[in-house]
Amino acid sequence: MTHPLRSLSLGLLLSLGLVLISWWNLFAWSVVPVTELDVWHAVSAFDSQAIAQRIVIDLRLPRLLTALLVGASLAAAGTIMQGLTRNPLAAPSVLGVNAGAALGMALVSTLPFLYGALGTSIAAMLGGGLAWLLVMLLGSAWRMGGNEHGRLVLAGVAISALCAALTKAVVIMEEDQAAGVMTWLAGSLADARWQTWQSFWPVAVVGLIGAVLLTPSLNLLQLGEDNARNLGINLLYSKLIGSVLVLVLVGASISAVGSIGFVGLIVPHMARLLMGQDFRIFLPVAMVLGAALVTLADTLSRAVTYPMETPAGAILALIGAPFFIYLVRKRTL
Amino acid sequence: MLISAFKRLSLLVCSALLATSVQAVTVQDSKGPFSLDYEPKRIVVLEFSFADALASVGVVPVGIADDKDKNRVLPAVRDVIGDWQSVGTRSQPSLEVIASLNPDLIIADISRHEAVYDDLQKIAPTLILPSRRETYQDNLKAAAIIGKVVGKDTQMTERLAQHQQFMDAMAAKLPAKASVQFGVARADALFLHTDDSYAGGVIQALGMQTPASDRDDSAYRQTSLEQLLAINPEYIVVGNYVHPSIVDQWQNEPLWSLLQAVSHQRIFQVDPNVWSRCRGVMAAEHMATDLARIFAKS
Repeated sequence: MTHPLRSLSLGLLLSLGLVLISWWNLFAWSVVPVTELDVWHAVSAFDSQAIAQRIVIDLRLPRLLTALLVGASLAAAGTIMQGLTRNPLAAPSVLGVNAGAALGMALVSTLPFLYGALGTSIAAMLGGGLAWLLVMLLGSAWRMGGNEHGRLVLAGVAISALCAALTKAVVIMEEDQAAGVMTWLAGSLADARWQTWQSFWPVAVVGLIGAVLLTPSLNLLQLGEDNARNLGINLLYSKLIGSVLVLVLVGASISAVGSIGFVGLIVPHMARLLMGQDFRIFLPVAMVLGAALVTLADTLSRAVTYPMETPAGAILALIGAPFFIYLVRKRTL
Repeated sequence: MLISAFKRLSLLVCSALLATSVQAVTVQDSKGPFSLDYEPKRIVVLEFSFADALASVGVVPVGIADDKDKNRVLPAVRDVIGDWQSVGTRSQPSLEVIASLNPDLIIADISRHEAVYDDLQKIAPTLILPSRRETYQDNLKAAAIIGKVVGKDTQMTERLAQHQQFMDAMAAKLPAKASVQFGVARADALFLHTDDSYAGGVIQALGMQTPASDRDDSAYRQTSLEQLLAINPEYIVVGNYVHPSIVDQWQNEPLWSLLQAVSHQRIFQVDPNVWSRCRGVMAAEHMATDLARIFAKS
């Protein structure tokens, strides 16, 4: 049991870190010079003809807000998945959701007749949903008392590989669209605008609230499915709600900024490391951590190949892979 | 009797040798020395720039990797060569179709086709030269080499000199040292063609400047609106592959109006296919004519 005072001070510290990273994100590594002062002026006394201030208001602010919410959503989705499946390796990117969404996106952007019918966001959600469903079926995650965690991950890896192969085939056949799809596959916040934000935040916020409400059930699920059922949890119902929440959170994030991996996998572990096993406490902390991590990655994405941009998803993989190896080595999983 | 027959035979052999040595050409392609001892009649080209080079000296290829869309070949090139057999896409040309055309020369692109070079060699002698991501100067050199290989060295030299004169005449009509940035716009991305790109080279050959330079020498750079603002070129030339493209979307944003090219109404549209996919003497002349027309209006 974590001491409440320790949790509170850690929470405050994390929030302070998040604010600092967000502030830094607004002006760091700008191709058009933007200073701290410009950021201040943009929010206090906005001059619409000053390029630097316009950049802060029109580009940086929606980009920052989207980064924060994407980070929180992916972290929450990962936490729910790990809670539902009681599998430390569960995450949208591991269980096929990202790869499925990417395939859906690649299909609609290369096949014009699909593009008219669906639009990329819906295609991403459909693809992700179908892949997730397949993985759950193959991994027999719906079967009551089905406890073969390894099978679920294997199914996820197999479906991911299948989707990735199909995506590559589509990209090769439609070479012209390749660059756009590749950028999207790597996940980048560079094109997040107010428009993106407006269609993204309502969905994501509903998903996040749902995630918080689900935490008591997730806590009980950790006692094992039989115990959870005896304590009055409707397993099928909880799993269904949890899966829908994951799809909403991941689908909204993916259609806003593309496929970003690793957040859903590593952030829940970081939060659990800091805050202990109570989902009610570590889920909110995971959201804050996820938001901070994606914002940090986005800031660095402007720095790595300055003045060009590297997709934030690539930066996250760079940060995430070593951290994951560290986690595995420490046997904290 | 026997001696005179022998004399006649040796004379014949000598003259045959002489004839082949006159026709045999050796050039340096991207893989090293390339020799051909006959004038090729059935040529398959795997990039548009090679079709352009052949058409410039009136040679007609039998097959072109035209992405299965004949409209992608420059109209002026089409006028010269008439019809041809498509051999598939430039990225994945069909070896079966190429072989079925029974070619005596294949011209391939070192950037796209190096992996299938050995397979192509089995079908016919393959001349491999730069095309994709080549510069304007690279292209002129490649055209000169193609001229030699197809036995039209003199004509190609003349054509290239004529091209130089044409470009000089066009340059005289265009504002010297103006900064002109070309880019192609898709639905979700704008790619600027940097000073290392073919279009950038054409703009420079016309005495103007291309502001987007790149530290790692790549020809095409995906660019955000913010980066475009940092470059802030005097003139912007856009080829929209689709409508609405990302540039169409940007036009609704306040930041767009802060670009100097926008506030002075110096943003123009051109055919993205010609400006981005086609390279070669005829393509460059098409682009120069586009620019002269644009600047005459502005």
